[in-house]
Amino acid sequence: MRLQDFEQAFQGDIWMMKLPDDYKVSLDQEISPSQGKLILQEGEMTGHHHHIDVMERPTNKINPNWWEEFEDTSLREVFGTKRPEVSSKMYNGASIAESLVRDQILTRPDLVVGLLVVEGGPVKVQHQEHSFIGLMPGKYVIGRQIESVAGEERRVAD
Amino acid sequence: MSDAKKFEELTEEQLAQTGPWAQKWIEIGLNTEPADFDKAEEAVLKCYDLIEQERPKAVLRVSSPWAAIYEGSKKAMEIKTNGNYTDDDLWSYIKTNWSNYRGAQLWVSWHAYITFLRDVVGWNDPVLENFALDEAIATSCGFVWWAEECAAISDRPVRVARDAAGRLHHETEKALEYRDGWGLYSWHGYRIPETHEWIIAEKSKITPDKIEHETNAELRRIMLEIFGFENYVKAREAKVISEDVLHGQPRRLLEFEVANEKVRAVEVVNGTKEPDGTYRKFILGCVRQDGRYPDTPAEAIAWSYGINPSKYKESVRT
Repeated sequence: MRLQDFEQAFQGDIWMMKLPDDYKVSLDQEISPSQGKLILQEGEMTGHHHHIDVMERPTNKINPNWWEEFEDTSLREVFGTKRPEVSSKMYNGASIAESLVRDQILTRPDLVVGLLVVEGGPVKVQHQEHSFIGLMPGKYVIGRQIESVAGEERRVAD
Repeated sequence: MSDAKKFEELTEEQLAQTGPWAQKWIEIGLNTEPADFDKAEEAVLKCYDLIEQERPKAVLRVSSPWAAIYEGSKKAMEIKTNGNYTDDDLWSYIKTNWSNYRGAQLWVSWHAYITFLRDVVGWNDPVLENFALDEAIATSCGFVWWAEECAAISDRPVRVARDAAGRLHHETEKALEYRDGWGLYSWHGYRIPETHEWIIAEKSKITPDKIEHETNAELRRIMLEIFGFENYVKAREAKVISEDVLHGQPRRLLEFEVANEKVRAVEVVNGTKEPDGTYRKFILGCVRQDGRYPDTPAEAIAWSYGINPSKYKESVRT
């Protein structure tokens, strides 16, 4: 999915908004992955979560240039060509939330979960009960949803 | 090592058998006949022999997986301590050891796959002799829990109810139930937590009030489905304030009175289709912005995400 600047993708109760490449962000307080998964939001009762798999590609210890074993030269070329490593990192979203409210893109800062930076290639945002959403390299603000239950504002929970 | 033989692809004939083969094992997985405890016990004891472990002092025959873990652990503690244990000891033992089980009929996808390779494709390997023990367990009982001192074999369930898409589901009773009454409530595959079993078991107790006070959106959706969306809208004399269509799905903004106060809520639909072709529908209570309620579904949704309505643009939703 190629989002235009400030466009949003939605996966259930979370949203991802594409930022313009030149939008000023500060990359602080990286949120570290847990067990190979970058968790964007966790379910309350189901244990289901919105996440990106960030497991590193295993390297072949016996032959690091394993593609040389292919007889077919075209396969050797495909697998032997160096490609940039795909990476996705998440950072604290407090300061980006403030500037998006200042710029009247957001109505409130407190629903921002973090700032996601995707590099080198697309990543998939996955959830057990929703189809995945592919995000192209770029910067994204991740946020959640609230609702009013019995007169009180609270996070939409599953 | 056996003589390894590599199968590159299945023949037409073998392919034609995949469907019936899967069906046969699905039926074993869903079997609700009483367990063949003798056959299961024989295989279980041979498993101890296989790993050169002394056979257990006791083999229990129980009605459910829960009983297998609980009664099995109790017996194991009794034997280990000569009856000198407290409730705390027992619970801490269960916390460490509950997962020492075989799923038996609950795990038949694995057996379907291995037996297909063995019986249809012609895979031959000495390890299959060991596998045959697990196969005997899967085809004779519901669940096995084991420890050094004791093994506990569970009966098969008395009911396994599913919806058309194959998900655990029953509208009035436990979707999965064993002969001692233990089991799970499930709504189209959503496991209902113990605190909420009443929404199926005593569904007449669901009221609009209780729906509105449910803080978990997924459980509220299920309560609404059971109560009936239209019944709810009628009971609350809800007015449709505004409606639109997004991604081919209707969205309605409703207004109704709760405790003498006018509130608004928005009906939204999941972007991902359920296995039976339907979409999950939710009602979310609208949040206010600058003291007022939203006037359109779009405004309601934008505010719920904290996004300025003029910038709110759903390029994709799943």
